[in-house]
Amino acid sequence: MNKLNHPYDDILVVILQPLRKKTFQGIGFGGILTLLLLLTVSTTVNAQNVEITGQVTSEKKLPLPGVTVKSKHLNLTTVTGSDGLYSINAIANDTLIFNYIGFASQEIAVSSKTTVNVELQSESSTLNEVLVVGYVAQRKADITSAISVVNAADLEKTTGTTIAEKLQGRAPGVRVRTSGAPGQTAEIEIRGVNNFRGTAPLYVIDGLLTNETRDINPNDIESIQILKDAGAAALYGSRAANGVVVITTKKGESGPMKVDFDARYGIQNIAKRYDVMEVSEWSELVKTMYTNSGEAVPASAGNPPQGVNTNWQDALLKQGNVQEYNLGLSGGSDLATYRFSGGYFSNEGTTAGPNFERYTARLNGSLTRGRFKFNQSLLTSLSNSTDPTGNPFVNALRMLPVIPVYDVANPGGFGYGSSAAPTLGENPIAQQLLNRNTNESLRIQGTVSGEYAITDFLSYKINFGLEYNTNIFAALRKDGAWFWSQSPTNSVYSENRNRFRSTLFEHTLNFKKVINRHSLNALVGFTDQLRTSSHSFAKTENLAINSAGNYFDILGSGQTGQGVNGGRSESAIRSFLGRLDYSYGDKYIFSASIRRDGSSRFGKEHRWGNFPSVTAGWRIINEEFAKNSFPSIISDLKIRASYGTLGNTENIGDYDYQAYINTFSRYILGTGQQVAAGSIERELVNSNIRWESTETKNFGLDVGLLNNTLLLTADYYIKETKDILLNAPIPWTAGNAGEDPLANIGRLQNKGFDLGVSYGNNVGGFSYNVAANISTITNKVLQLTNDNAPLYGANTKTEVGQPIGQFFVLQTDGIFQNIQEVESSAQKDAKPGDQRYKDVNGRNEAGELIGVPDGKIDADDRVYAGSPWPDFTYGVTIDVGFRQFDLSVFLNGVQGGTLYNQQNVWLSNTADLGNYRMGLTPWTPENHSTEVPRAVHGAEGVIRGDTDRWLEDGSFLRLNNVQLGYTMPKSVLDRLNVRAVRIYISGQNLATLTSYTGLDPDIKGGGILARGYDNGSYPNVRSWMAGIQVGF
Amino acid sequence: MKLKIFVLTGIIFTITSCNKRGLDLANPNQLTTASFWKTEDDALKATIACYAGLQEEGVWKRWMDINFTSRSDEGNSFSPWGDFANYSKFTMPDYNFGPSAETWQDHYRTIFRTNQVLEYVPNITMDETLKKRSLAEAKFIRALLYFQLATLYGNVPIVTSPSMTTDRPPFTTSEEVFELVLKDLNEAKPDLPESYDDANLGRITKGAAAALLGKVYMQQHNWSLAAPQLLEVINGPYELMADYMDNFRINTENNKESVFEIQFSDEFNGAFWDKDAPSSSEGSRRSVYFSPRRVGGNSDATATWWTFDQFLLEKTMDGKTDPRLDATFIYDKPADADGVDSWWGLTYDELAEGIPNQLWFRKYSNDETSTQVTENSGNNFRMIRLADILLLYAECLNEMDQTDNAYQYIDRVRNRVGIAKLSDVKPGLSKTEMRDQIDHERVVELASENTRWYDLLRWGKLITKDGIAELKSHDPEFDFFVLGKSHVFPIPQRERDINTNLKQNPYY
Repeated sequence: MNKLNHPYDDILVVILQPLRKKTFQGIGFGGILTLLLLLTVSTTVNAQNVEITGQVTSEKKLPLPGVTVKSKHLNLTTVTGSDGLYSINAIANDTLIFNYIGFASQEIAVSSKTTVNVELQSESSTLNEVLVVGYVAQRKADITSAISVVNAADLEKTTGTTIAEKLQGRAPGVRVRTSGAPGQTAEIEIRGVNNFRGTAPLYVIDGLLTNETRDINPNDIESIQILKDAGAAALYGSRAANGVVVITTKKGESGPMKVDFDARYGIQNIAKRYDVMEVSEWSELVKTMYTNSGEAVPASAGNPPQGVNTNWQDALLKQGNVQEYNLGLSGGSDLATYRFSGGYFSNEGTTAGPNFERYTARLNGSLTRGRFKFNQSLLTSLSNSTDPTGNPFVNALRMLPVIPVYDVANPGGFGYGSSAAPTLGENPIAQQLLNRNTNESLRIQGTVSGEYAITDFLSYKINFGLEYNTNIFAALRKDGAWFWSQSPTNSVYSENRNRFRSTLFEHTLNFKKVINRHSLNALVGFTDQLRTSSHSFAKTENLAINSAGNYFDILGSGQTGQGVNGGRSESAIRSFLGRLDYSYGDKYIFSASIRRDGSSRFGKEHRWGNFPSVTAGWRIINEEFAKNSFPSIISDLKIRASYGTLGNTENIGDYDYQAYINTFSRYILGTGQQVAAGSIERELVNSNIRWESTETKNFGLDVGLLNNTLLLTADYYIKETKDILLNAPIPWTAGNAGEDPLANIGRLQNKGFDLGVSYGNNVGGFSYNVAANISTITNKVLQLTNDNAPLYGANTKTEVGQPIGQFFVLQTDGIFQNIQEVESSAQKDAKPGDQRYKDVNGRNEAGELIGVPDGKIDADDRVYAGSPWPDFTYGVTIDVGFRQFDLSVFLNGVQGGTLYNQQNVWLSNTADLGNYRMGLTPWTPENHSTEVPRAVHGAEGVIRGDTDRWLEDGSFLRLNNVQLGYTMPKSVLDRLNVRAVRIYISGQNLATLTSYTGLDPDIKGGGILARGYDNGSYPNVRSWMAGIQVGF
Repeated sequence: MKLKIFVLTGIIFTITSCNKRGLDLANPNQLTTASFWKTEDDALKATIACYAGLQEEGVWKRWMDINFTSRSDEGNSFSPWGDFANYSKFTMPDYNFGPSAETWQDHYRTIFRTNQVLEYVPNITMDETLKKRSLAEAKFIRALLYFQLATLYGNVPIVTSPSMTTDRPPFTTSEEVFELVLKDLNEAKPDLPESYDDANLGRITKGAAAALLGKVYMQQHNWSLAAPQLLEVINGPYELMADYMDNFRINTENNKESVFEIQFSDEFNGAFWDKDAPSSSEGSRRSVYFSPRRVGGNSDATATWWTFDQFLLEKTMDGKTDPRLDATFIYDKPADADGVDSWWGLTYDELAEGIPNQLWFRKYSNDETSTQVTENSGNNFRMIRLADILLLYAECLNEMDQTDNAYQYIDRVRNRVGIAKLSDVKPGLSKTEMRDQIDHERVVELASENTRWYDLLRWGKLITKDGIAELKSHDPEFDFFVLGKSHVFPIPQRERDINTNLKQNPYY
């Protein structure tokens, strides 16, 4: 786990001293103010006898600031400076006592020495881990808010493009949904959905406030902390409502240069396929379908073409691969450290078309000189991706087995529907080959910080962050068609170039002082961030082609259709921040923080927002009564609570509050019918839009058992977001020509329970560690628009009093088996074999719903038929080590939650042509199926999408990752002159226990309002990997 | 040393306040409203934008031809778009149905523009004459839009200042709307010039204001106030074009007969739905709606045979067919007939594509100058022309019991196309007979020019049982007309959902 093991730690700013001595016991809380005054006035100690100086360092030779040094006989106390240096008066035979959080206390006899250098040994307890929680760092034992720590070593075991997808199942309260598309970014939600416009959390990477991208190399990450409540995240104020992911990247350590190289390679496949009908079976079903509708059977079914029996899934899917190489060089001295790393990652897709590759280089360094400290981190990243066109996983099911993949008779040379084989399905292979969307992204991201220790207890820090990103989206559309009746288009080449720049300046002043049992840490700061972006678009048509049929995909090659567009955008955030942490006797812990943010995205009156939080914790274990009366099995016990407010501005446009003038409202005038320029405001804007704010309450319990080998963290939270921005309908009489203006009117509530447990032990060389987490969440809409009009998504409805995005569909009620059943139903026009629906609602004369059947099936009969929100989600990690072998198993799962299986609509659509599921047996007069309605082409109501027939349980348990490693014994390594060698094999997404019939129950969903809608999601792939890690 | 460090820190702090502009970041892509409404140029451009509003889909680009002509007894619809065909048959189960919703929306969007001009331009320091003219132009446009709204929907809410998102205007009666219309027009008229220089041809003139005032008064049966306004137009700088067809040709726009035109141009070819975008269309879609599919039209709205038959009642003095028949319709001509027998270079049989007895409206179709109809027709719509005013004035005189005096104005219209003088063929008509004559004269002169609906309303034919019975005999679509209900559209449901002050029209 994360220890105080990198140079960043020596600027850690929380210095809390759990003094066991009771020097100041009598002071109590009332004396704090006096103390503060005392502290700021002077820290000098009266001189007596000998002055002893020295430096306190960690076992890694890093200076330790804030260590309490006490002379036993004179009963004097001082604290080491930021460079670990101290000076104290003592008598000749005195003993110095060194105390520091997370380290074992040491007593050293002075004898006749005047210089005493001490190396403190760290205590091996996770409670002493130090967490960076936003401008400050805290010992884990002192944390009073909801923070999840994710072990970077765990993340390295899984293969993935981004950090977000690797977080899946690793932390309670963090839901990650992924797909298998190369270069994908995952959907990440921290404690539910707080608004209707986006759930992405804020990322803080080495002090730079940014968002997640696929340009970061997860291999460079040292530690990840996820801040989940206002107590932890309030210092990030207006951007923290969706949670904050704090990432610290790897730094060098003093010592000789270390070289680490690792490589892995794996193959990927889509594990599951649908069994679909062969031509013979397919054509029989189609014939029945058309015979029942009284229409002529299409030629491809009546007389199937010879030699064509296309399995579209086989044609589309292929084996992909993933490879990853990382080289790290690190080292340094007491004064300076460095770490350079270079990485290459590539992922060749499992379907025709898409792929992704990324090159990264990172340089992190630090310098220490006297009271100065300098830290720097820099990432340069270049990535290229080719993205899928269309929806191949749906189109593979809409194409027919009688259509060949390639057909020279068609423009472009690909097979698709025709009057003989009528389908509007799109040839998914043609889509990928005739259309090519690529994106090249160059990103430079880094921070430079300087710190100066003004006094022992006061330091100033300046942090400068820069991010620069250019994206070139290039799209080439070749001549040719991929579906029946597609209008012929010219070949087109277009480029969309985006440029993004973010600069961040932060000034913070940090005060820290420990006086015996009182520990105080205060921070004030000012930050300033400016983000600018611009885009330019150009396109051209009718491209030049060479004799080999290759297109000249440059903007200069088109004959016609030149078009340009572009724009620029800027936003600024200015903030003042302050935080105060106080603890008394390592028992009572308080903290309060506030960030005051001003954002350029709002009008003057609503520009500034305050985001405060308070937290309190009680380490009961440190009470005398606990020590005396608790059973010895209990090694730690802390209760805590936090309350605060977080904001959200990240889903708002830069100028949404500013009304603007349209300059293209032209008219025609004059004898020559000249164009006259016109300008006017045509879109109404709500200039009063303001922050969305989320109020969070968190109640937590931390328990350590069995000498802290068994740790348990439990949290219950209630979050309420108000002033959520929604497009609130205004009357057309207002004359607004744009979308309905935004207004702060929505309210949402998320409540839930997060539990994390870990247990680790080492028995006779057999070490093991088990970590598990489980989370629940309840989401409820409290208010929508002014009249609370519901929001609708793909077969979903979101209304007040209900969770977001529940399925709202007709209920199927079996199949009509005979004409009598039809006559006694609400579907008088139906035929035996048709689907029956439940008539549950109708309207009165005034047009109001009355909840009584009205003898007809219509949209009024829709009911809530399933929630996409699971009952709980969970993850389990098991690590086992024995001698040279290590085994790691990672499972994650989702229990409950309904999914809409759109693919099944295509596989079972007996009213239209498709790629039918094998064994699909529609109702016939002979076969009285109760599941599948009769096959009849074009019949209305036989197959309709808005019914519960397509809803399925989305629960699953996935064997997400298994890794088996072998580390070479030291005896062998020494002979080879190598520091470390480990080889491993791993498998990812090896097995999934689920009743879901789609390709993968882990879907990214159809947006916030349709999170359970599986419309041909790119399934997660199965990977088999082998790798080697070598250290010199 | 410490001092140096503090100084250094201070310097760093100052340098690194990176963003000197603070939080006031101007939108670099668009003018903000805060930086607009300052100069004469702003005022003139904003006024142009009011005119531009008249080109919107729901105003004169697309739906007005359907709302006024297709629903009247002149037109019908056999569109395969069922809801649309029903719209022409007064059947609209969805009160938010697109064409009606868009008519409502685009009228109020343009009213929003005029309200901005009327609110902000008075505060701009600029040439006073131009300022007055700009305000008068905005008032005219606002009056025209409210006149149309009150005609189509009855009791529509009044909005007269730039909108706020919180506005929920109260219910108002159509009488109050008419009051506003008259007030705006009476205020606008004195500040409008008689005519413009070549560069500004097409703007609203004093004559246009007089003509519209006359029309509005006539809808209120206020003959005595209507008459002088109409006479002012007749005595103004207008003359009938010698060739009737010149009123509908793309190359004879803004001619001397024209009192007010909606200007269109095919200069830009952007998609019609892409409004007020850099390349968005400034054209009309009328011909697409009225023209045969063979030439790229939708054939969504067609002509009734009753209308056609009106043209056969009288021949010209030299024994030929009324030339207005060929100008008005595309139809299956007998082989030996004279006049026009091909359109867009195609014969009737080619256009009909095997479907018999089709009758299309021809005006503004550009069939003489193109081979296809487009979504971007540049042909201006002559919204008010002298012939209309002459007939209205005749009607006015007749209603004021000056039937004899009315003849001369009707005869000017008949004479232009070679039809014998009414005073020669039907002298001494009674007031009632003259009403029927004017009904006929207006159909043959103005068919498909969107005046018929106003005429039917003014003559009470849309609100009486006898009127509807007569209209049923002209156009079977009137079988679906519900008396007391169908003479106006329903107020869009969405408006009533959001603005609870509004009342729905009777029987909806």
